[in-house]
Amino acid sequence: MRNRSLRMTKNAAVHFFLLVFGIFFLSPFLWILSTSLKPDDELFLWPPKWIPSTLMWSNFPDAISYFPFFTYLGNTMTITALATIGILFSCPLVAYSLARIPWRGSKPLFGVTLIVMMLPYQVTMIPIFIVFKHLGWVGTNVPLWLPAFFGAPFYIFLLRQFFMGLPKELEDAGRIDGASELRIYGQIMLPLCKPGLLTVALFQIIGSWTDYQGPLIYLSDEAQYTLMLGLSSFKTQHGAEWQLMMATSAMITLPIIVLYFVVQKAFIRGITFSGIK
Amino acid sequence: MTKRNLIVSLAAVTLASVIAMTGCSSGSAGTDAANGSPTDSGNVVGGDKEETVNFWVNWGGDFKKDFQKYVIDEFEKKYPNIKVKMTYVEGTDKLLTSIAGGNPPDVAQLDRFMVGSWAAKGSLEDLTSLVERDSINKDDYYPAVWAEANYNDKTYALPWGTDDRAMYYNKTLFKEAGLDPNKPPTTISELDRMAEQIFKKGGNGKYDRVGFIPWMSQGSIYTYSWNWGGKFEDNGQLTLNDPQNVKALEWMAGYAKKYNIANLSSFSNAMGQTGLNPFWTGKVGFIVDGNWILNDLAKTKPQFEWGVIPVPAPDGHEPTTWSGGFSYVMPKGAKHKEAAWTLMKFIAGYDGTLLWAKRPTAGNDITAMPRVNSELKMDENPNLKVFLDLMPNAKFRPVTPVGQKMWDELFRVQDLAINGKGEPQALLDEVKKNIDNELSKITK
Amino acid sequence: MAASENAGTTLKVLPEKKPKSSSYKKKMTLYGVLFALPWILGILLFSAYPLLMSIYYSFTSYSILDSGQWVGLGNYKELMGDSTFRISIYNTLYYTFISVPLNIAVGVGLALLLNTKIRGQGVYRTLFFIPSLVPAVATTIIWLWLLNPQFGLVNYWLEQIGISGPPWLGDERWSKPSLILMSLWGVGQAIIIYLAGLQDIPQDYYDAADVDGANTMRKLRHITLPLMTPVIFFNLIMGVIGTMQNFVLPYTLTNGTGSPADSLMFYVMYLYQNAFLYLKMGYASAMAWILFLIVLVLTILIFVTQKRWVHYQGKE
Repeated sequence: MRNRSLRMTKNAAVHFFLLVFGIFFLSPFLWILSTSLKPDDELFLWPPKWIPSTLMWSNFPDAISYFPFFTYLGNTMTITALATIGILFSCPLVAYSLARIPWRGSKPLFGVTLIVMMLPYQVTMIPIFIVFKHLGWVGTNVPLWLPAFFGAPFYIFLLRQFFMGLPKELEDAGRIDGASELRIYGQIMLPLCKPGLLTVALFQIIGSWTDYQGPLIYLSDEAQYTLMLGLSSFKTQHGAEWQLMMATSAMITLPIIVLYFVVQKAFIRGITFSGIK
Repeated sequence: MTKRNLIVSLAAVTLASVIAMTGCSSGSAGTDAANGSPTDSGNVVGGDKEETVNFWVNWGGDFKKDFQKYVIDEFEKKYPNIKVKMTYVEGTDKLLTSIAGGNPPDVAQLDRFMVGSWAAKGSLEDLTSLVERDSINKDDYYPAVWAEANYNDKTYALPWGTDDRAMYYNKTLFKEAGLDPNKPPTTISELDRMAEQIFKKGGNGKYDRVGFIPWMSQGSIYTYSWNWGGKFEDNGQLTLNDPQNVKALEWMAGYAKKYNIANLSSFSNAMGQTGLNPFWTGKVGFIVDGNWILNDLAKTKPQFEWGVIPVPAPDGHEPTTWSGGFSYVMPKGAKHKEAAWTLMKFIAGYDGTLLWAKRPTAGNDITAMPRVNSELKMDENPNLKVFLDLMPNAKFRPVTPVGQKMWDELFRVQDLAINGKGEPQALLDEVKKNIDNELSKITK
Repeated sequence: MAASENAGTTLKVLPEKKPKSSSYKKKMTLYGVLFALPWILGILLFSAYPLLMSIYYSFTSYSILDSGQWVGLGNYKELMGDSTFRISIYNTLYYTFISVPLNIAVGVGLALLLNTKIRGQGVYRTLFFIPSLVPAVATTIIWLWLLNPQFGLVNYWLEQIGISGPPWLGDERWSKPSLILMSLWGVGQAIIIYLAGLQDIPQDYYDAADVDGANTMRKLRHITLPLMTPVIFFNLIMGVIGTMQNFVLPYTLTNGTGSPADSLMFYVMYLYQNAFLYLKMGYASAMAWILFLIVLVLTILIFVTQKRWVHYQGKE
């Protein structure tokens, strides 16, 4: 009895905290939604108004026809899918090498991995552009996804942490059994790292989805543009089409929200040693 | 699969991607070149040469659609051999990168303010001989507008579009404060007095009503220095700490002291980019702003009466304004120079300017050509007339390689001065020193 | 660290050491290189040249538009006398030192709450994640609207409950705290990492602790937190690297000005201005390498402390 009421108070406290913080986290997004449904002349009312006097659902079709929404959506999805596949191929491999394979190069390589992240993109942007230009990729979407197949430092580091967090006994057992490194990696370690892989995939999806600078610099044909470039087209010389921009922002965000809602269920503790053996 | 096979396949995957890469590279080298001109290398079969001009604009969406429809389509009708490929490219990062990479567009829209510094780096084609050859008349443009397209007596751009600044005032607040709404201020001292009367504090110690905040919206050290008779450039020298500039900044800082910066900043805080204009809220007596905010009327539908006047000047000085705007440039490395020039001449010339100004959504935009503005009877709009009348004598920011740095530094010290972090004289002396130093490094 | 000891005793069923012959070493090196091959190629292809070029640029007056001249240490010397540069270092360190620990504390706290088995867990998790998905251009505008001191929603709310709201981004004393507040809004990404990290803690540890009759706090202190340290460590390093390069939010919020009174002028903002607006890429590259050194020192400091508090199960 006592235990149960204790649990209930505890749960209530958790709900309370999450709700209070939740308001802070959600209200800006709600404001985006509210703005996306506002008529022109209600954007800047004082005092602020949450519910527009008339719900302008037409903002959404208007926003979609403002730029070739579905073309850009398709382009964005292509880049996102390819980049995510690339990241999932390369990063766990490299991270595993850094975290789990005892070889002399792992530490220096890890150091270089960190160093690559320490220089701000703003100064490497031009030389990278020149590299891609020599490779003949400028004007195509290749620079936006192909490098993913060669790894990305952020994810390599993240997955390294996950691999290092796994008990040592796992691969020892495998190595004693004479299993190949690839088998230990593919059949023992990788499955255990599922939450980490999901995280990395999710981040890359968001990263590609909301990337602005990359598509801006590398795409030169509007038929290849992405949603973020479309979003910035709501800016005008002295302002912007705010409600359309917010409507588009909401539409762009929604698929990833849904995706995350589905994926987060996988973030449930599933690892037990008994399960491994 | 054996261990070895796995390793081999792993290596193969990696190798395959490398091959794919090189494959891509050779494959897309073609499209890259084609990107510059898909037609001129391949499909030309003697006779009239058909060319495609790559043309970058700063805004997408409705702007681009309208510009295509009202201007570019007409151009292509007139010049059937030239196709225009208009691409929306926000900001200058990509233009810079493309010039560095050696594959710039043929024509680009560029803020006139940047023409000086880009030209100084040798990244824009010198148009002087073309201007002379085709007798482009600089008097077709406002003086300030034309001046901004030239650097070191050479023409690097053709001007397109302009704007200037004036003062908006709230007649309803005038009445509430016991002022005559038909007698707006004509001098700075009148402005100061009237503003004081409009300021009203609410219960919480903050201002409910604000008379005037000099640095709100388009009010800045540039605006007031010129109104004070100050200068930023004299005989090729930058004169940022001109005594009149110092006086103007002192006057601005005086407002911060008198009305308490903390209370004022809550009103003036960076609203320009949010679309929320403080003046249209009806709580502000005076504001210095551009003609473009007249376009907000449809959205904001202000419930008060208001008017527009030139920004008052101190006794003994004439009110003035300054103007900016865009231009068309031909980046160094442009591939289709002659076609590009034909396009530039059209869109920045009389034909294109008129076509664009006649579009139904032109609103309260003014063009860089006085003739077009009067032909379209823009001055029949009493509010817009105030802006138009100021244009012939409008000032412009010095055309110098350090224009952007100078702009940022002046705004920085303006911000420091109104926040009580330094004296105007000392701050402007410092900026002068910094900028001269910058300049000497570039021009040496 | 109770957890590791537990693990040691319950799980040490394997031989102490494997044979470390030279052929084993060779094999491992081969595997190591092979697994890391994409990244080694990636570094050579995409990172090496930009890194070297940016060092070279830092000794020239490269302007993007022209190649400039060799100026030796000129850019570095000039930086030493640049007051905006000094202010930007101060602002950036201030921001990093407050927002990184705060983000970790809030992130871990929320992740623990979001990991409790309660009704609506999925909804809560999604809710906290939404802000990190909103495109930056929308985020900026929304914050400017919400935090507008005079006409914004936040101060309107505060007024309703009788509090006179601060000028937020309009006042130099409030501007950095406001920005830190906004950065908290994006903590959802870190929460995901923590949540993923929490899933990697073997249930066995908790079961063993239950047998010992440990309460929630004890489990938190002796199992959960120690085993989360690898991901906390990750977020700490990445937090420092990331916040030291803080750019998009303050740049768009202030339209690049860093106002009021330079209080939001961050390092990379100033770097960007130099590179792309003042066309001083050489100068900006010198800034980048100074930033690199600062970040490197901070990272090394964190790594030095690593042994004391980061707990890897995979280590012997």
